[in-house]
Amino acid sequence: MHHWSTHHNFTLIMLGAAYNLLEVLIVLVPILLAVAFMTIIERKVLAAMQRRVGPNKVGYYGILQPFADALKLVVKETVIPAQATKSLFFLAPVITLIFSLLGWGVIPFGAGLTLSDFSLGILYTLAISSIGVYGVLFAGWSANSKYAFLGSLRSTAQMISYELILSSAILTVILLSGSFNIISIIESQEAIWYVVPLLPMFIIFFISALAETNRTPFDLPEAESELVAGFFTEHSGMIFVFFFLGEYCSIVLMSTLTAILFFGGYNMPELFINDTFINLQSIVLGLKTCAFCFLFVWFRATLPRLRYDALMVFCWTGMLPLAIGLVVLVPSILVAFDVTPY
Amino acid sequence: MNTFLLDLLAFGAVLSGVLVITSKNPVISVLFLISVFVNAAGYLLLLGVGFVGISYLIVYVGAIAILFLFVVMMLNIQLTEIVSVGREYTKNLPLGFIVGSLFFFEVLSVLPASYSDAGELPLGLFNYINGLFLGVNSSFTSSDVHMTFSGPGADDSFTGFLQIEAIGQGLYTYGSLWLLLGSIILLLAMLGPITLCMRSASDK
Repeated sequence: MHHWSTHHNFTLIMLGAAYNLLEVLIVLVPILLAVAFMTIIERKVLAAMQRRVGPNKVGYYGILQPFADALKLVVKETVIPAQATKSLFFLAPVITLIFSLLGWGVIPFGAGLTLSDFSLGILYTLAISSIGVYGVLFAGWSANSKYAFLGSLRSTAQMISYELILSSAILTVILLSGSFNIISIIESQEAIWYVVPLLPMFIIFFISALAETNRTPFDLPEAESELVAGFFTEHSGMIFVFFFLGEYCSIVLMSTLTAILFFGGYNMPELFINDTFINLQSIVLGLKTCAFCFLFVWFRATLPRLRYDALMVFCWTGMLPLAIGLVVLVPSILVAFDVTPY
Repeated sequence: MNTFLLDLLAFGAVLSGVLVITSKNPVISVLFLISVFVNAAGYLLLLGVGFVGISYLIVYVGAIAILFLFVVMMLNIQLTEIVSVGREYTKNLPLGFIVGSLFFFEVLSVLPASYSDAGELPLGLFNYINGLFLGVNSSFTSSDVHMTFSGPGADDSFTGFLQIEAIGQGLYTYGSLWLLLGSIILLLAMLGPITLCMRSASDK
């Protein structure tokens, strides 16, 4: 009897582990697919805006192009510079990819549809995104090449500067909703999306999101004419794919966060709330995310790149005082009208 | 299972702490420092003090360690230089030991042996002034302060609160004067470098 029960317990633990693994895979596989399609969105939209055709050979309308690209990158030879610090050289792309994927752990795709309903979810997202910076820093330093090193220093300085603004934008959302839990933040937007009362903060948030993901007009680390390709100049083949995936994954994550924090996440007026098996709320979140992904590409097609000093001055003397001013103003209004949510 | 993980994280933190001072390359040193922070944050998270653990990640790993790493990478120090300078410093090891044990003694004399029966401590004056500000008599003692900041005590006395709310409640009531004091110190620390770096009009 005793033997049976320990055996039974072991089976239960294994089943639990398998269940958890399956749960994680159900989130991860679609995310990676979304990242793959983000690259084709970027190429197609850029092509349309520049009056070209864009990729149209692989699959219908070139829809399978990302998989062809991935295959090409995977079979390429991985060249490792002789002077590189090997351990960090391999660790850096892994950190970039893993930490941009870890951010999805607290994202709700529908009412209660989340890997972890963590009470400090939004703080977790901030912590994870701040650790992701290390991937960039390690990549540049370990390659032992001045282009990669300068690119990584630029990129890191830019990311930690704009992270301040991103955090203060998120802080105002937390002040309005009175919770760190992402689901409560979404539920508190049932009356009105936060983009309406916090429109200036939304603009600041989106600008800093562009800078955080190293996108145009803030793609200084990838200033091809000066720095070849920035921090991943020396990375090739498979380890380059990791950087590539990590970068596009953080773009999709940022778009999702924008949709969640300012546009009500999976919420939409009555229309989409039903008791059927297919949850339309996730589709609502997906559509909102797609809109912001499009916005990311639109910015790339429209705006020229900033000069580096202009970028830093804009952050520290332009955006930061504005963001701090709003962080003081929003709670002051809440207290003055006695409408604090706690 | 959980205690095993806790032991593993504690061991990892101590091991990386030792490696910080033994590794020759300063960049690798900072990497182990980050490892110490990450291990400590994981330890705190597993203990159930999630907010403190996550603040550890945001503040130490996300901001302070990155600045360290940034500066160390930019300096580009030669290894031979460090080794020679390091030999000079080992001469001062006894002095370091004396200062370190003095600090250790001070910390031991301030902290109570156990938080449950914390008696009158040198914190009394501040708590008294804090009580005056709040309009309360000096009825609460330093044990109230410790009750707020010791993990299980806070959870017991603030049932129904989230952990972060419990910390806020303690910080803005029992610890309000400490909060002000801490923020003034931080403000001074911020103003100091700015005044030092500021060039006067005649310099231009």
